Amino acid sequence: MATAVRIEPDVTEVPSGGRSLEVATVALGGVPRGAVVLLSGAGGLRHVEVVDAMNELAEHGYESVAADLGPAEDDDAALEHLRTLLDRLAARGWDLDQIGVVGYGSGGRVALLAAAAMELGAAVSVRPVLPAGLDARPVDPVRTAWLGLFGALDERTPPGSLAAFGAALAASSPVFTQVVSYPGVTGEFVHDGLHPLTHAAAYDSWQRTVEWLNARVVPRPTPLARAWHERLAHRERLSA
Amino acid sequence: MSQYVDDDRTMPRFRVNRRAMTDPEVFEKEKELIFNRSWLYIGHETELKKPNDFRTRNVAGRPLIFARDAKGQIRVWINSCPHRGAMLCRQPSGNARFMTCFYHGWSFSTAGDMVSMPGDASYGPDFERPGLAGPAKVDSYRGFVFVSFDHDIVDLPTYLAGAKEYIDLVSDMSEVGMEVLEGTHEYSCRANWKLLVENSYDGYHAMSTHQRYFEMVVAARGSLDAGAVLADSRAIDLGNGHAVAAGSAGSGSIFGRALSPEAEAEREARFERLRAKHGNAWVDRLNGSRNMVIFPNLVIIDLVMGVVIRKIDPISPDYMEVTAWELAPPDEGEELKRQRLDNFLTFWGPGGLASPDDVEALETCQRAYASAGELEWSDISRGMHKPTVATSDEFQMRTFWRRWNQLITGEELPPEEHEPLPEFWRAPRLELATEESVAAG
Repeated sequence: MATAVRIEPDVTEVPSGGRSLEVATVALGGVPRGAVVLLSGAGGLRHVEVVDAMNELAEHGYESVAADLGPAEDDDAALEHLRTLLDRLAARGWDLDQIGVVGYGSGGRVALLAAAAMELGAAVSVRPVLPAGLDARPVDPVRTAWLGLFGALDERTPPGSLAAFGAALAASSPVFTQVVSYPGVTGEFVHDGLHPLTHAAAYDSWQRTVEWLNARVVPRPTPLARAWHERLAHRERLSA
Repeated sequence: MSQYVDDDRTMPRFRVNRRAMTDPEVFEKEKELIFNRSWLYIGHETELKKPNDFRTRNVAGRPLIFARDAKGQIRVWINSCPHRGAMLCRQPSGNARFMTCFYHGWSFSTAGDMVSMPGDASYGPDFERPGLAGPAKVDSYRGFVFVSFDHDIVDLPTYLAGAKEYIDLVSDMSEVGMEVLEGTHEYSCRANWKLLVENSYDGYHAMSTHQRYFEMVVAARGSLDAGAVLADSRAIDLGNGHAVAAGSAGSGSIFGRALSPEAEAEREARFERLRAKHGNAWVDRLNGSRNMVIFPNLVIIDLVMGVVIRKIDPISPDYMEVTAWELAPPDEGEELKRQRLDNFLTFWGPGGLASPDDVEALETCQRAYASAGELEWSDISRGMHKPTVATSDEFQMRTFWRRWNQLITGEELPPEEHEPLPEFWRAPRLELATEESVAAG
């Protein structure tokens, strides 16, 4: 039986948006499948849960960088922090379509903003902290396929508003979007728990997150795959 | 003479040997000579709204992936990993840019390209990485997507022949293009697939088989005076085995529960706009009923105020599976849509008042064919001697059977002669300049 290995992320302080941002990094050897920016913040994951998530992403072949954005900042500042994290991944050779953004709580809000602002591989918002009066606001279309996971008892995102938001987002966006609302749970499901509905929501939300990434984040080609694509391109040039 | 079709023009009489519905050898010939050599319907473009949307479908026994790739192009792939064969996609629908085989993890894009394979170093540097396989041909007409497994088949417009005009009629019912509504009717029938082809444009059976339905319509409307409208109808040969049973102006709304005044007004206003766009005569045709079979197994019916698209899949000589969708104007108001759906679902599908009657009729036919030794032939002669053929005649079925007979036996029977169609059924689709289009420049 294999011994479980737990990777402790490297933690560094990085200047971002006029302040210092603590960034955790799990870098993988070989040819990782893809990369993930993991964002937490108000209403998001605890530190140990972030490390757990980074380890589980590693099991699926994803490098990751993570940051706790803290109390909600304005949209521009939050996106500035996201760009800081994307720059870290770009330095390791990752293109935008090879990167997924997964956000929790106010980090989920940033993942949605990122999906509207840029074309990433995929975006997932778990219990995102969204503005009040959600269904009455004009919905900005997203350019990155976006998955939103909510607790049906979360007072900030009541099911009626959520359904209207999901329908408006789907109608306005050129890419696929999906909203999932877990019955019988508040947003606290992100922390998992002993109650069957809470555990079911936590389990299902992680499963959906990984599947969303796997179905959309462009895999990094291996050296042999890259050579194969070069051969194909060469043949096409010859036949043209 | 063919052992399956007796086309006697002197009596006249047209008969089909019931072994065509029971013989496994015939069934195998149909797979090879008809389904492997025709254009076959797979789905409608509006079922794939976003990039990387997909549906899984069976066509001619093949499991297929019907997808829109990341660039928006419609694609059709064999739903089988080129590695060892497992199905890549095991869900009826979804959205994914990459599909990964759950057996060994090979992964492909919706454009059919291989994107990754675990442990690829074990394959060596010169290994040719296979992409997904597809049917020989994929093409669409007005959003209706067809595939063919025959590299040498004629192009789709040539194949569709006169059926194109009737696809135009159903597609022109909305100024912004028709869409397939979410939701599917899926049912099976223990009968040969050709019996449902016959049934799909058989006007003769309506009053006797669907008595229940018409009693409901009479109760809802107070009366049903359809005699004159139904009498003024035509069965039309559209070429290549396709045929339609088409009603006259107004026949499209004589069945079903009557629309509310508000819904009727909305519908009429749309037709008025269409008159300005495509001409009165075209819209009069559009406002008629039509039951069409595009050879061999696609049915498009515009009746009871809703268009049904029906795909018939032969599974064995005595068993078929049926999939059906509704095509509707996407710009319709909620109330008109509700009333349209109500009429659609009251008639069609496993829970409708009509489809179960048809299934029962066809299954009793199939069971009775066990006595084909004693009762060898079915009769499809109705209307052969008449100068004009109506929807309650059986000309449309004979059109199908003559094409079927030609493909299965090689025997080519001459077309049946009837009077030319009146002007109403020949009115062309016009492209008129409307005030809006002139203003738009």
